[in-house]
Amino acid sequence: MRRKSYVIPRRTLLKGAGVSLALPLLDIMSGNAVSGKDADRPPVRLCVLYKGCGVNPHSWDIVGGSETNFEMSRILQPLAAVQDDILVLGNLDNQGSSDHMDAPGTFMSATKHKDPDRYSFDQRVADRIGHETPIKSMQLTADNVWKQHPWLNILSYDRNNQPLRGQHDPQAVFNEMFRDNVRSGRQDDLLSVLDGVKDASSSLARKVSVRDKRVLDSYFDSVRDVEKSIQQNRQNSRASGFDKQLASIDPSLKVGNLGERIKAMLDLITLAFWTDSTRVVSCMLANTNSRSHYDFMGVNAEFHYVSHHVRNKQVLPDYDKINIWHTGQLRYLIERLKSISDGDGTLFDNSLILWGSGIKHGDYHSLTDLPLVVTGGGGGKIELGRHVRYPQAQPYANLLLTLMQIMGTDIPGIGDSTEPLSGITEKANFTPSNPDDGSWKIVKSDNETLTAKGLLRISLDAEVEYYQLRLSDNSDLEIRIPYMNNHKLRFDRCVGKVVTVTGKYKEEAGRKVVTALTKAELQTP
Amino acid sequence: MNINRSFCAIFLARFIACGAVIALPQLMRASLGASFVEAARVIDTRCISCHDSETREAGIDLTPLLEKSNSSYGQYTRLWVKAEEMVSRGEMPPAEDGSLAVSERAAIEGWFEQSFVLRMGEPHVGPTPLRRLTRYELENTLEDVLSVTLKPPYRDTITGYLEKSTIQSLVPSDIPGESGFDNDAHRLGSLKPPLKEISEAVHFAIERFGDDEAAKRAVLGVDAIPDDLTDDQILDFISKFLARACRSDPERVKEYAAAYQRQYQRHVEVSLDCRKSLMHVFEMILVSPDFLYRIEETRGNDTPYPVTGWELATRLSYFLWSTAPDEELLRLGIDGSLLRNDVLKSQVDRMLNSPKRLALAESFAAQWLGFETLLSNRDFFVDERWNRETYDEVLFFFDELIESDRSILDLVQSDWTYRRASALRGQRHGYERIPSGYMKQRYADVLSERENGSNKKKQRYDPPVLVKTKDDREGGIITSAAIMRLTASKNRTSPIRRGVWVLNTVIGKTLEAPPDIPSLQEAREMLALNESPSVAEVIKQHVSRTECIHCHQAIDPLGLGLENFAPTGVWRTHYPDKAPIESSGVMPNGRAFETPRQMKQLLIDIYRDEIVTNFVARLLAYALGRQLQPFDRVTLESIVSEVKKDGCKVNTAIEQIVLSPQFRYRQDD
Repeated sequence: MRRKSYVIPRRTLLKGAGVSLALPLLDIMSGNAVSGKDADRPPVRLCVLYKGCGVNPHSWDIVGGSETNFEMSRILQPLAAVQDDILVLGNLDNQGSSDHMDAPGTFMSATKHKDPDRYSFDQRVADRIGHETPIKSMQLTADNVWKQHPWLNILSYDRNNQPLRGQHDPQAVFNEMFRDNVRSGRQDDLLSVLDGVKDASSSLARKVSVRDKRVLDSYFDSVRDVEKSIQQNRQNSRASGFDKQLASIDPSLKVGNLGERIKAMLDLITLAFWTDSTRVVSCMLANTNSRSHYDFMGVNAEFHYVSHHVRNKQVLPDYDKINIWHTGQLRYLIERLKSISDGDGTLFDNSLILWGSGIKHGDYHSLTDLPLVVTGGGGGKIELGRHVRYPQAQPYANLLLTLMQIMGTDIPGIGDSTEPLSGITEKANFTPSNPDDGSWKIVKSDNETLTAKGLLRISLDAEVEYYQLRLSDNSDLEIRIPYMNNHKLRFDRCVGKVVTVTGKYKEEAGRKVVTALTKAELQTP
Repeated sequence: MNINRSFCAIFLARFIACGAVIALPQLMRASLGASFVEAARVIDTRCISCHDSETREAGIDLTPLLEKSNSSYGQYTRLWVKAEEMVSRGEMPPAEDGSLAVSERAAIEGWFEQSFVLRMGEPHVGPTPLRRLTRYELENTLEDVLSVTLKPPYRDTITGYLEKSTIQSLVPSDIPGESGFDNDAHRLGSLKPPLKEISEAVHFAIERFGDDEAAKRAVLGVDAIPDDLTDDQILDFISKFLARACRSDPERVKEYAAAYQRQYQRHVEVSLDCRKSLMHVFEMILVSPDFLYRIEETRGNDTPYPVTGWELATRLSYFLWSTAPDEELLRLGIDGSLLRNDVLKSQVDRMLNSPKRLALAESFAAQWLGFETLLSNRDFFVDERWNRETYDEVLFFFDELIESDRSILDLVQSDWTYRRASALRGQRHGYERIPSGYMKQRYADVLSERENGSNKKKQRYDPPVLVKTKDDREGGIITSAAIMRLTASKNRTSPIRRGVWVLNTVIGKTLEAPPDIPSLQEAREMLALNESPSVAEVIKQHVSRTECIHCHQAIDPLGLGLENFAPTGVWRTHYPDKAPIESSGVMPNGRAFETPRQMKQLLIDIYRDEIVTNFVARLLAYALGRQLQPFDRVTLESIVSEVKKDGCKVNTAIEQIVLSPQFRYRQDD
């Protein structure tokens, strides 16, 4: 363990002496990250961020471009500044169907709706590497807690399919990391208490029914868990004094709204990785039935309400705004992790982050083509700065398998996985599905009508959504048509594909704008 | 299902009188002659054409019910329950396909009753699950056993309603089970207890106890523990402590006292500090399964048998008080007199007159009606005072039902209500107050254990006040600010959400999620509505299609009838965009209403039986700590009929639940 890496600025230590300066938590992280016992090879840390409620596919999907040279979609715009640090994945399908309650569970285990097997992939990893850190794994819940429906917020399930509930209070997360009484001095006491209980309660099993005994077994399982974790903590105890220093800091984690809570959780993830408190974290940013109100970032509505955008088109701008805000949070985490050095690189290089939603389409709750971003260098194993859309749909489970392998485990499979996913650790080099052959242009036009061929996309402006035909000269032909016109032609289905359209147009500020369509033909591959 | 009243009486009398099950050959039930062949024939000829494995109308495939082996508790119980429910309500088959003949209905009901309600033709109580203390119960019990205060003072909460007690911040809250409540034995039993966190909570409570002279006097009979302890003193202290903590008979306490004395000896040899070692042993006791679980000794009998007196005392105490039995109750349990009806009834009466009964409002009602969310979910935050005040309006309302022995139907409509103190400041509120002496008594009653004694007016939080309702709006809990907020989003009301809430929560109807809904745009076009229709017009789109009308004719008038209440429950006549609110409506039975009061009255007229049954069913599930099963029907219907005979009183429901075989008996697999 590299003690020299603990550098805590003097001014933060002032606070331990009773000077109450409200400093952002991250200000204390100015030294190198703590990288476990083998300082030359920093460990890889796994972080799963779940943002439920899906997306509007048109606003999410990247259309056109190549694997390494592509334009961010509307929702991915905030990540444009860190485009070289992310890997956007398309055409990965989870199996079965899903609903609000079940989406996080299916996302984490790649098992079918209501499948009792919920052993989540982060826990499969934690069960193998968790013994190396003081805390085996952490579960965080940033979204608001809805007590009647706790499943909504549960991501992680242990090997016995027991739900692991997320900690909702940032201060409690901090306390767990640095102020845990059990770790700091009460260990012997607690072991002795549990010993005594086992002894004194030994006759109990004889008095109760078979059914009750099974329940009591889970109590004694829990006793063993505590004993085991105390032993584990002893083996992994950190440099003495360090926890005390951190524990004495007031991390200013009083949060008001959801935005502040999410930021606090992302800071705590960074802190956990920096101090090597744990290497496995899952965090619920927004559940799939989130009644959370996003007025703190300018949308006066509930997330889940606006996610049903097909039946109620008016909510679409707000829906996109919220999702855009969320990708902005991912960018925040990326930048935080990049600002901290770790080994020869940064904490970011040694993190492996999966960001996504358990459903794709906010209104239809589809499980195909999930919206997914992989980021963090994975210890140098992830080839970043790419957009990979698989030509044929691949099992999403294969991605989880790959991530588990990058985490250094030899887990053979999960859910309906078949093999590790190609195109993650190396370039995919798929042939682009819609290559520009130079024929994308206005084929003919008269005073009123035109025919044009091009790649159909959706504008990046959610407030006034319209279609765009990308032409070979890199210009866009605008298509603004009434709902029923779109509906009857099922025009929306053509987005992302090369299409030839015929219709009326008008001139607007020197540009042609298509106002009604009579025909839309997909190019046959 | 129609259960013969005299049958219930026989069942109850037999249970209560002797506790042993004797075969009663004179018990003649229609279901005794029910045959599977008959039931299967009806399902096959009348249901399968729509509900086979291919057509699966409404996603329901009834073919498994054609197998006789599926007519017992297992994978297909729910399907059977659903099928029988639809048939007995007359909802299936749909009228246009021809309703079932009386004999056809009887065939299905009879077979269901024989297979799921009765066992070998006899009623029973089902296997009794082991129950663990919830976090709420743990905190209450630690307070009572140790005679310390762990909760923050009640009146001191204006500035920090989100502040949790130490126990609450250490121990995670419990996940509600199928019963809808977090005291669900099956849920608590299926999850490992958070033992590390519980140990920390116990450690904290014991430290409090160690520093508190009055507590030690109450529990151990001494202000301070002497430096030197004789063996007898140690045994005496441990026995006294165990008697409070283990809710058990003297024999078991004796056995455990010896075991824990050995633990003490072992510890003191190392610590050389008898006080420390004694506290250490106390900590063991409060982490032990005998404290954390409500252990009931088994007789290994799969026919119902009465629990012991102290076990009944424990059941009763956790039902009404969410804490361990007090001295009197435990004493009556140990000497067996609690097993007598008259003693049991008088104890229920005593307990409902104790401030501890607030647990029923705080735990049962807050979970059933969901208003605990006002304090636990940051997203429902309006401001600290508002949330606490509106929470308390419903809390006090529910408690008043018990305090004044009122009707269950008052939950829907009442000529009294609780109003928050801030709404009553100034002269113009126009409420008729109840004489203040009564309120003082009420606060003393309800809050006695929570007062912090602070007299600084600014720091004090004033609880809500009992008033007579003054107009056509208020009364009951549906129109309370708390419920109006919970069933709306921050900036807009949702009539559908509110209508569904009333049907689900108050009337007890479970509604299926609707199949493919048309888009608003499509519906607008279908209905030839203009581009900005009124809320009422938009809602009417729902009922434009036959598959929707079935549920929505019940949902929509309820939701629209509440449109005058803004998301924070404030009365309004116009929407924020100045459009006028149309809140009159027509109920499914064709009766029209103009005001919320009329609507609530119609609710009672139409759904009276459902409202009472739903209340009793929820309370019974809470009392038993499990979801109700078909075998609970006999008891449920008997309680409901007793309650209806007695003016639908809440307290009658409570008493009848306590007297029921489900509550007093135990059964093993």
